[in-house]
Amino acid sequence: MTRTGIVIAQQGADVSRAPDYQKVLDSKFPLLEISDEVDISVNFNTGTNGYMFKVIHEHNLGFIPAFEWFDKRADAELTPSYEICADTKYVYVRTLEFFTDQAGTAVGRLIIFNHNLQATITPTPSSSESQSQSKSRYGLKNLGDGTNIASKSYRDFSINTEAKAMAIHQAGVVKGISSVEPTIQHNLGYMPTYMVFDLQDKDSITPSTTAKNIAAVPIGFQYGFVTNGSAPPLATYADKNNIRFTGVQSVYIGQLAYIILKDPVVGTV
Amino acid sequence: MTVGLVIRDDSGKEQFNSSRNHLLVDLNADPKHFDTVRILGSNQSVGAGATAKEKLLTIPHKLGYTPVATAYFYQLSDVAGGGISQFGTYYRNFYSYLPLGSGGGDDVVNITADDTNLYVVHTTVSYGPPFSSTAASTPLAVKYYIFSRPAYNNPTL
Repeated sequence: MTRTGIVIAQQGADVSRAPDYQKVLDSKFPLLEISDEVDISVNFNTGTNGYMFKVIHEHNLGFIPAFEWFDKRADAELTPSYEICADTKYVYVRTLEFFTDQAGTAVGRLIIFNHNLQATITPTPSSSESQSQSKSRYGLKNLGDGTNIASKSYRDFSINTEAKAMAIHQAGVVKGISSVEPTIQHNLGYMPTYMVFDLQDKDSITPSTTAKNIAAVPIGFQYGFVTNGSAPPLATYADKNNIRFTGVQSVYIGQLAYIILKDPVVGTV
Repeated sequence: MTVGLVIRDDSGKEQFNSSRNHLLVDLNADPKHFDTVRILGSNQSVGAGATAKEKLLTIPHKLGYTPVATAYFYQLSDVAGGGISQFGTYYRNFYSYLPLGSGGGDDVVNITADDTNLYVVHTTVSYGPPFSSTAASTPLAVKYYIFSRPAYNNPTL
């Protein structure tokens, strides 16, 4: 069968044999693209003792996006304990403790990805071992928000064969119930990198398999020492075919949105 | 006029648009901007209510701004002489040597970055009695990524 499309391998990899994680572009699968980057200052000192829940950004994408939050107060234990969550229109901050005696200002950057956490991306086959060849004098660059094609800064490019791209292998939503932990068959042949989000009722911090008014909370600590709050800590197990999430303190019960990326963590197992 | 490359899948859904920013990783950076390395912390002790920190890894990135970064921590072997058995598990952006939420303290490694370096930092916090970390008997592999996009705006750039 003839295959049509575009495939661009990164520097040092033969395009005909390159595994997916050594491609900078392949029209078979999406890349992790950024929809918006915005710097935000969150003032917790509202003068009222209580929990805080307020909008910090309107994204208007019409779907619940994957996102990351980077608190600039790095390398410090951050108080009050808070988390960032998102629904189909807004991004919120939610404190998880009374904050009067722990007032402060969080300054950080919100990076919103152009990925619908409730959409399903079916896996595409991945093959072959990584390649390492001599550098070529030829390559391809495509500017992103940069203006100078000769720039030496990779932040200016959306494609650059001298830089690795993060491709999405598979995405979707999986439920954890009392007897079944969230398990995803990926068949990548290696332990994959991933992003995972807890889908929960926007007005509740309790994970639920029946949440309707849904907001997403990223799982996994970020810069600094953010205890990202109500998202339950998850241990991850993986082999070359499956990835499984399990609660650290108890069985995970709730809905997870996951993004499995095409890159190995520690090689094949 | 917009110039660039847009790819749609068979259903018409856009899956690549060169006008959007992407997370790229420099393949030729020295030191490397993505790699898997082994780390071992110390048995740092903390007194009641105290905090101790140590840097387990410092990677100069030479970007001139604080980059978006991420890391995956994988426990390489079962713990000898204490700690918790999490062999075979891996975590994104942090690892806890203690059962999470067990109370009494935190003992974690996580990543952070500034305009100069990426760091893996081991933090031990006591909320009650003194205790010592088990990091020295818990070898971890860390797969880290230093991405092209800034995590914060640096007004000097």
